[in-house]
Amino acid sequence: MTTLTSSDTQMHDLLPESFKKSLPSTATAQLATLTADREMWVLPPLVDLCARLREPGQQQHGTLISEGRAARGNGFLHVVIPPDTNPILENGSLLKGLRERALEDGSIYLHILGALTEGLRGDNPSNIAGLKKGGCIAVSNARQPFANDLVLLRTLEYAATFGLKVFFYPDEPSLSGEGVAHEGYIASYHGLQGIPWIAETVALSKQLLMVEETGIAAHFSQLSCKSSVELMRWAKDKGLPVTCDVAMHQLYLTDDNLEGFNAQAYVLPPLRSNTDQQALRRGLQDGTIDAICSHHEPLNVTAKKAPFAESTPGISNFDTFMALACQLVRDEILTLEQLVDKICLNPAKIAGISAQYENTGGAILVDPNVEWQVTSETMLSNGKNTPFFAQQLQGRVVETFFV
Amino acid sequence: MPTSNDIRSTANISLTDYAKVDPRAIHKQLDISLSRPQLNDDGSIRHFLGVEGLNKAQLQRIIAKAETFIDEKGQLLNRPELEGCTVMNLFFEPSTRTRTTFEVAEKRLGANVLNIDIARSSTKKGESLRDTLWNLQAMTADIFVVRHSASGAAHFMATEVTPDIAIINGGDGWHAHPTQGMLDMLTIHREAPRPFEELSVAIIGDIKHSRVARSDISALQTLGVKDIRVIAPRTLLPKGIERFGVNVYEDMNECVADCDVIMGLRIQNERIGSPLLASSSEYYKHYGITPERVALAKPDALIMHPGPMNRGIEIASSVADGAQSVILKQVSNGVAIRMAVLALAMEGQRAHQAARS
Repeated sequence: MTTLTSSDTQMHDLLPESFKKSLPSTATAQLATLTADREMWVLPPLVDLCARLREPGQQQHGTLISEGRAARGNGFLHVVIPPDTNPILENGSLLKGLRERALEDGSIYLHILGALTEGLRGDNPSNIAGLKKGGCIAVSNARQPFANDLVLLRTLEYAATFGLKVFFYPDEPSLSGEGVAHEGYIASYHGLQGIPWIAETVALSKQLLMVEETGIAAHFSQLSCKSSVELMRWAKDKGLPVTCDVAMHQLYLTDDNLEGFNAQAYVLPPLRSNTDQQALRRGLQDGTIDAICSHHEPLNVTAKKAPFAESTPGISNFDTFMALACQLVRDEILTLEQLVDKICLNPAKIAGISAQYENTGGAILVDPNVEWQVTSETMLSNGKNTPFFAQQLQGRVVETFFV
Repeated sequence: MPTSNDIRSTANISLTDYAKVDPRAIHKQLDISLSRPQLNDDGSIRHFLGVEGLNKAQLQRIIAKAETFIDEKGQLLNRPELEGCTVMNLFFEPSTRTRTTFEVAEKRLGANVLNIDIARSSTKKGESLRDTLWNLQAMTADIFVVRHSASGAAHFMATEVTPDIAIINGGDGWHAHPTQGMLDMLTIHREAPRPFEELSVAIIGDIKHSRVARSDISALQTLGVKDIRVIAPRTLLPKGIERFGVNVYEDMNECVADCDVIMGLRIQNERIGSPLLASSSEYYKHYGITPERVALAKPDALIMHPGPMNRGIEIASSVADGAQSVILKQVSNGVAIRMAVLALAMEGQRAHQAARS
């Protein structure tokens, strides 16, 4: 392996060979002369399997310009977005334009999940062949329900015809209902309507069986429950073509963050219990969980200015992502090598963009110990909605080398 | 090296680390964090959002204040402690009983009273809660009494919208109904033959969706009741009920045996025939407060119900109208308690603003 940096042992060079070739010489030179008096990491650019950039359709919360800048500044060069924008991403011929705009306005590579069903209504498949032609990387129904199990089965068969992967966000709406928080003591104490574990696991079980039946490749995003990890373990042992991810905030927040009706901790799927969090961390360690996504959902200030259940769910996650990633290594939950797999290499494989990922190359420099406070000024995202607001975090992307 | 705890939480302890942490400590921490916005530094209230987090002395002060509005014959007294003040009753959710008793209480204190039926006005036009409240504040309100379907609504108003107006929680979602809780405490205090510390209290019915149950349980515990029993079909018990410091019963006869107080809760009609409950007859058979069951309790046990009652579903008519029933006393005590919290919160709000200026 060619060494990018000086022989200083504090420098951890995790950049794959293939990325080094494409690094601009100025970056190579800069890295080589970096005399680190502290630990530094050189990593490939981050790949995010789920972020809502709010454009098109919800520009009051964020735009390709604002969230593209936030993504880049925090090390994300490739971002996958779900189809529940406005308009819904179901027209293959419009996808190219959106990707170009993301590159122009936000300087990021956008990867699009097309709508699995027409209008995400869950009744019949959308024009999936057209979506594929338009370059969507997979299809998904976002968090919208299917009319019935037959629709789910047939749309999966239809998508499998065109060789597309499906992304699931497992949720059984009749069980999650009007719930706003993990169904447990904390929700009961606050009188908040609960979302039970089985809202996720019933949907996940069903979807796994459908995957087995249809043979379609599937990715399950933002798993939140201990039993979901166990179900995924079962599916992988069985050899099903499945992968899954967890949202970074689930690894460091639990339902106790709802204390005092804290609307900043309102997110769907909800923050779960400590037991779930431990299981998710173990799932990452043993490889059951393949990746960590940001589940970035920026919101404007007024979106959270309402009683808990009437506020808008979502956490702005781009800015705190790397600090939590560093914490995973500090807490010895993941090794640095495992972390790079979970937030860079595996997401690229899951999204089916590994070739493009290598071609676009680049690198990021991380100071895993730098302390910083989460404030409106230090956050790049337009959305300042995070339970970490005003807290002191450790670790940040300090430099990006993107072409 | 910092641990994950440094990063993870605004809380001092990990609340969900059930195995390691004393559940009472967790409960107390939640109580304190909910209660903080309603208290002045000296412990007086400037809003009345919930009974959670108030200590015994603070609850006793409310009870004592309420008793100053009741004469020896049990009649309510008028006292113009809110003369010149404007109280707005903001009911985002329909209510007859609570709203009427608040209005009576406000008028007996000499306040200017405005009833604003928000459910049918501005929110229907899409105005946000904050804008509605700021507009009303600009009309020089001193106190908002608020009833809202969202848990935490009163808390939100006091912390993020109109902190300088005394907010009185008239019921928020499933969360709290603190004036109902305190009127129940006043009733027990005045009618029970034994002090709180010696009482066994049974709470029967829909605990899960009941803001009354949550406020009652919290107030009873703070006032020293050691034996709080609850019973309901499992569909009407909240997750984690065992962590509320109550004893959960499955047999109604056992639940009421030797009790000093039997409290029924209202079963909302829409719950019957939903997946939660089979039928009203089956409910009555298993959980109804019948004369036979009352006979299992102490001979001087009190029968209570927050109303409105479903006779023949939650409670037998003969029990509701019987000698042990204090249900109508709860209603008149409700006026006295509301007078007390209105007066105390206004006093606390004035003190807070004086201290600031």
